[in-house]
Amino acid sequence: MASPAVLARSLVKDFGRVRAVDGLGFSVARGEIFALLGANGAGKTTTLRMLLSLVRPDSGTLELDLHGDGRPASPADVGYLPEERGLFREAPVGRTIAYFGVLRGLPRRRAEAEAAAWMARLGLEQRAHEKPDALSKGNQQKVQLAAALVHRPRLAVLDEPFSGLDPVNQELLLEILRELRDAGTTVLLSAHQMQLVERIADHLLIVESGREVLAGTLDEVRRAAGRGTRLRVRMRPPLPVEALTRLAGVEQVEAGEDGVADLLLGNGTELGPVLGEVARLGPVLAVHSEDAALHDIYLRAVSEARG
Amino acid sequence: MTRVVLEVARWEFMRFFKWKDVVLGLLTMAFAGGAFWLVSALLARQATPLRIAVTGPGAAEFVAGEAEPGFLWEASTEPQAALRDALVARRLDAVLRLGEGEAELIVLRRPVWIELVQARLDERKRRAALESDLAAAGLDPAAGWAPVALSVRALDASPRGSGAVAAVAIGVTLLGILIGNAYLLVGITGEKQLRITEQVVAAISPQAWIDGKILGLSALTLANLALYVLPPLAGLVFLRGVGAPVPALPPGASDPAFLAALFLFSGLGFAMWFTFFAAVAATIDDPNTSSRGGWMLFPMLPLAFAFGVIRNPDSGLAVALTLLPLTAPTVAPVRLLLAGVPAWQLALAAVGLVVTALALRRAAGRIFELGMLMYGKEPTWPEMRRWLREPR
Repeated sequence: MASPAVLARSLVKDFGRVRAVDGLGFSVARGEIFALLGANGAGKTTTLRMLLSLVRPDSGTLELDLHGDGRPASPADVGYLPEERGLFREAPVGRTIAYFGVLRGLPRRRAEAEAAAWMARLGLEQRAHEKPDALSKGNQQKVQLAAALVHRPRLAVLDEPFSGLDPVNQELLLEILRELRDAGTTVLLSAHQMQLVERIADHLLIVESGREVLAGTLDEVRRAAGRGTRLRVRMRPPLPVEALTRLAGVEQVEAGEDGVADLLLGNGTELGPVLGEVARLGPVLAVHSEDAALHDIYLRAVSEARG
Repeated sequence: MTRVVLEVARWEFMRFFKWKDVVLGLLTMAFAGGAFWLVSALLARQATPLRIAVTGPGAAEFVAGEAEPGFLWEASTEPQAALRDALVARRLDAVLRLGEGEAELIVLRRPVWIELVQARLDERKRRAALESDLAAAGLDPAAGWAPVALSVRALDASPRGSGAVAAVAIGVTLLGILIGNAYLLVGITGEKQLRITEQVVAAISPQAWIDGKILGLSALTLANLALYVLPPLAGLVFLRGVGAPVPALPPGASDPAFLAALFLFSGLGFAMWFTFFAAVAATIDDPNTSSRGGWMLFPMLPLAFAFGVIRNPDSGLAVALTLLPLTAPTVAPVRLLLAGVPAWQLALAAVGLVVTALALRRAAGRIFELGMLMYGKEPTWPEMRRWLREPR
């Protein structure tokens, strides 16, 4: 079996009296997209910083095998989009991207060519000579992404890559992440946008207070969380919320407007009997079912971890 | 030196060095210089000499001889009332009434040139006494005023230049320190505030980053100094070449050994002090509120000691300051200009500067590494001491 690209074991990091990361361990296979999820302050960024040697763990080990043959990783192998990010205000953005490519080991000419290619890929080819202040926040975010990926790294570490992007650019980023994966790049990202993560991530790790709460593929996480299906019903108002909550197999009810209710069913619960019970409570106008959203799983898992 | 250090140096240089700004700056300097020259010339052309009427015994002797520039002395026998009217009507600027061992200056308001009148009175008094003594002794009074021919034969090496050149050299080095200080403070605290640091430190080592910054900003400072100093010098040389009435360069200003020493020692001094600046700047969270900005001016004090060395470049203290790395960047070239400095002293000073710069570089690199990733608070002195002791 091939060694993982990233292997973390029992990572611990304290900042004064605060334990930011508490015995975290995970592995990331080469060429997969791995999502690190958690609330603000859960320890995601500290974990990523330890991975990049920006912060030294107090205990535990971190191994990178990006070439698959045990060779140590070099700066050219890694690309990093930090959570705290900015751009050189006095430099045109095209030059800034090329500069980061040069810092990561590209010859200057090639860095300039790659920067131009990334600007084109991100729809910014006309803006290369502009300074960051002339760009919108979303476009600045895209420039920063290009600066992290310009040298085509083997491992891309992206801390909150979706923040600040509009839906169109979020879709563009999803496309780019898929392209990276297809090209063999390992992607390790943290994010709060669960609806995007569940569309792209091969593996997930949900952390709370620096500890693992749930880990695995999306299916594995769903099974582990015991959340199978989200059943959306539209009934004639008023909604019988109390009665819906007491139905067998229903774990949670979220009441919306106009008689709409989302019923979260336990793992393995069959839809038919539940629908029959719902129909007995009142006229059902519409029904829609889907697998439980990562958003729900995440909220439940974090809430349980907090006790 | 690694490729990445040179790339960082190039980036830092190009970040701040803009040809457009350079051309604009030079044009502004040329315009300001031209305007100053023009206004001075116009003022000189329109200036009329101060007319001072001298009355009383010995007035004719008093006004005889060479007049000071801008003064016109006239012995007068007109009545005091007429002179007073002329003063009020501004046909005269002053009336000087001579008496026995005293004099009275009558003016509309107290002038700024009163000391000059006093000096002329004193000089005339001494001259009259001397001439009287010489005449009484049967000697020719004119021979008493003939200047003594003085020739200088130095047993040791003669000074290469003047104190004025030394003072300008110190000023230029201090200007360089101020320029570099500004670039480093703006560059580093700006990067911290713009949250660029993490992305850079993830790509290269902090030591390579600080090395590149210091190299690039030292080069930028030297380029700026050259732009401030060379065009006026070139202009002076050009004007002299075309026969314009401009003063000659003072002795030493173009001495190759002095210029080489100035370049070497100020360059090493910039490297040493900029390392210090970089470390201090990395610990500043917000330059608008931090009290650490004052530390950036610390080097000015030892470097300014060199002004005191101009008067006595051969003293034991001057030798000690040459060898001390904190003061060597200015004292060494100044002493080379004004005194014969043994080669071993220059070599020892240069080695001391290099060693200090390297030691400071390591310490600053460590503080820079940890300070640059610290947001929201500034590290305390005990924290920084701990960083320096911790292994990398």
